[in-house]
Parts: sequence; C-alpha cells; structure tokens
Amino acid sequence: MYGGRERERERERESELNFTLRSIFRLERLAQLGLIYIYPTGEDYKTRYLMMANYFDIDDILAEDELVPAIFREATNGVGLFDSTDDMNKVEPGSKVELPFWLARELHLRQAVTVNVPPCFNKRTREEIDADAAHVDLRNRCPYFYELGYKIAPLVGDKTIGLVLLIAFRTRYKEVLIKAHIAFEVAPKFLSLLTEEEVKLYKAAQSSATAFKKWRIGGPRFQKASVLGRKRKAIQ
Amino acid sequence: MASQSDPHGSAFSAAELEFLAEDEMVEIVPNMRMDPLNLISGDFGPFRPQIATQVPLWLAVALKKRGKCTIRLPDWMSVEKLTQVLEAERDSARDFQPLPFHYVEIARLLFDHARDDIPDIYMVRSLIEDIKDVRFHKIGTGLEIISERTYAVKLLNLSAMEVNIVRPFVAKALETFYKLDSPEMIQDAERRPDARSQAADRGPRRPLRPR
Repeated sequence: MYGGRERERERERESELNFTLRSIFRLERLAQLGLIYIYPTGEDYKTRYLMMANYFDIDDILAEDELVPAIFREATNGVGLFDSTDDMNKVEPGSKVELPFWLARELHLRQAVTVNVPPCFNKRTREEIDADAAHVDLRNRCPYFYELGYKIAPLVGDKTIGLVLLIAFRTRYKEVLIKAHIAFEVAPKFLSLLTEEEVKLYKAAQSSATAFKKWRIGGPRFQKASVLGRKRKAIQ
Repeated sequence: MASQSDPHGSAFSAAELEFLAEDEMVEIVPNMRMDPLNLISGDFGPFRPQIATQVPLWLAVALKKRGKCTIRLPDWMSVEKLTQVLEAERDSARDFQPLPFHYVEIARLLFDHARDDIPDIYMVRSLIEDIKDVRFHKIGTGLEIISERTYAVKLLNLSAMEVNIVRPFVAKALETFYKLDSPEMIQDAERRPDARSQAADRGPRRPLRPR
C-alpha cells in the first residue's frame, strides 16, 4: 500500500517535471525567436525584469546558447536527446549532459540539474590568463567568455570566476586599446583571439576612427544629383 | 544624446559635428551693402563694405561662396598661435591646450571654402594636422589608465571631434569594467582567506587622473 503510493507520487513528480521541462524548452525557444513574450510573474518579477532589459539583445541570446556541463538530479522522461545512449528517450539521474546555458539555468532553479563550471574556466585557462592574458585564445574557448562567466558565477557558486574575468579584461583591454587607437595595422591573428565582447569594443574604436578619417579626407563634397548624369534612353 | 546617424545615440557623425560647428561666430568683411538679417538665432549685420561684422560660420561660408565677403582668420588660427599651441602640446604629456571646442571642424570648413583668405595656408594646415595628431596620441595613451577603479575620466579642453571619436569605445570599456567589478562578482572572493594571488595585486584605490 505504502509502496504503491510512493511510486504514484514519484510518477506524479516525474510527469510534473517532464511537463515543466517540455514547456520551458518550447516557451523559451519561442520567446528567443521573438514569437511570444513571456510575462514576468510572481516573486521572480525582479530578476525577470532585469533579464528583460537585454531581452532582444542578440549577443545576450547567443551568449546564453553556450553549452555548459550539467548533471541531472532526477530521472527525466522525454528528453532523450540530451543523452541518447539508448532509445528509451529518458535521462537517468546522475547522467552528465551539456545543456545550453538558458536551459541549464531554468532547470537549476527548479533543482532538476546541478550546473558545473564550464571548461573555459578550468585551471589551465586560469593559469594561462595569469601568465599572459593578452595572448590567450579566449575566443576558441568561449566566444562570450565574459558574458557567460558573469551569468554562470552565481549559479555554480564559484566566487573566483569574477576575479578571473576582471584580471583577463583588465589586461586585454589595454591590448585592444593600443591595437585600436594607436597601431595602424593589426595582424588578423590578433582579432581571432578576441572574444565577441572585445571584438565589439575594438570595432567601436575602429569604426569611429575610420568615420573621422573619411570625413577629413572629404570624399565628394558635392554630390551630383542622380538625374544629372543620366543619358536619355533611345525610344524604341 | 540625440543623433540621427546612430540609432543607439552613442555618437554623432562627423558631418553632424560639422553642422554644429557652423554656429560658431567668425568675423567677415563684406564687400556689399545689405540690411541686417533678423534670424531666430539673432540679428546679424548691417553689412557695409569694408566694415567688419560678426556672423555665424554657415552664413560666412554662404556669403563667401557668392563672393560677397572675405573671412577674417580667427586669432587662434594664426601661425604664431598655432606654433605656440603645438609646442605646449608636445611639452606636456597629459594636459591639453585650450582650443575652440570645434577647432577641427572650423579649420576644415575654412580650408575648404576660404583658402584665399588664409595667409600661409600650407603652414596653418600642417600645424593643425600636427596638433590634432599629438592630441589624439595623447588621448590614446591616456585611456590606458582605465581600469575597474576608474569611475569617470576627466578630459579637460578636449574638443568635440576628439570626444566623439573615443566616446563609443570609452563608454563600452567603462561599462564592461563596471559590470565585471560589481560587488556580487568580486567582493566575496576578496574576503576569502585563500583568495587568489591577484587579489593583492589589485592595489589601493586609484584616484582619478589629476588634471
């Protein structure tokens, strides 16, 4: 009798979780595509609202698409695509998967998974940043290094990530500044090391400098009206 | 900041700055007779031959194009003044010399439209180019001090064009530093006894650049 009720409750929980999973999966995806709008509700309001601030920021969306390692705490049906070792369409508790950050965060909030520190913040990377932050290929490790680190630090409870980010950015900022403002030519290799955030910074400096140069050199100060240079067409 | 050219409003385009610079006053010597102009921005004139009068740059350029006046070179654009400024700029590693806020644009407009009114035009032009290059280099090296301890950057005597060029970069950099140095990211890590070695390297609070 007791065992039966226990099993029933478990099944109930499982189906509830499945429902949540599936609905989050779909809703978030639709929302990301801009097809629906998720209204902020309940005590979540403030965090939701803050998230809304850059809701339509494509970089924010792409940053949240980065994969992070996670471990399922519960057995979950219907999500076999994360761990397709068999055709049960089911994930066992304790199985390691890689989830996009936006899904991992939601599942983490619902206590369904444990999020681990992504490999781009591992010991090796940290040592390389300590040694010479300016020449670490962060883009290869994670194109949204700072954004992901900023978002994931409170989730995994790793207080050292913030410091790694700050040290890396402080050193690399100088490099970007020099390359963007002072150097005339940059090796294309330099750009391939930068994360998306740094590339944006570099581009901001570059584009305003080129716009100024263009204005100074002048270009056509007087533009010909489009009707003027036109030849009359022969009438057939 | 209202700007037509940039949807995010973070910068003016150079052409917009040029437009703003056209409101600066210059002195012209008309060679025609005309009643005072009563415009929204003020009354200009009356215009009498050989009697100097103050008009906005756009009006001066318009009259000049029609051959109705000569433009008097502003004081600061004389070769002696510019030489002094250039020397002072080179001598001081940090400070910028006071120049008109729109000096780049005004010089450009005068070079384009009033080249026959400028004595030693090649000299003046190359002096202004040199001054501009020295100042830009100074800005570039000056920005290296930005770090997570910088909350603002004080730029005395910087001109409109110079500010406008560095604005997107500086704003983004300060924003990122602010974000990464936010209390929830850093504070606790510093307090930990086994905090990483860099925690000590963060150093004392850096004061703003003394200017």
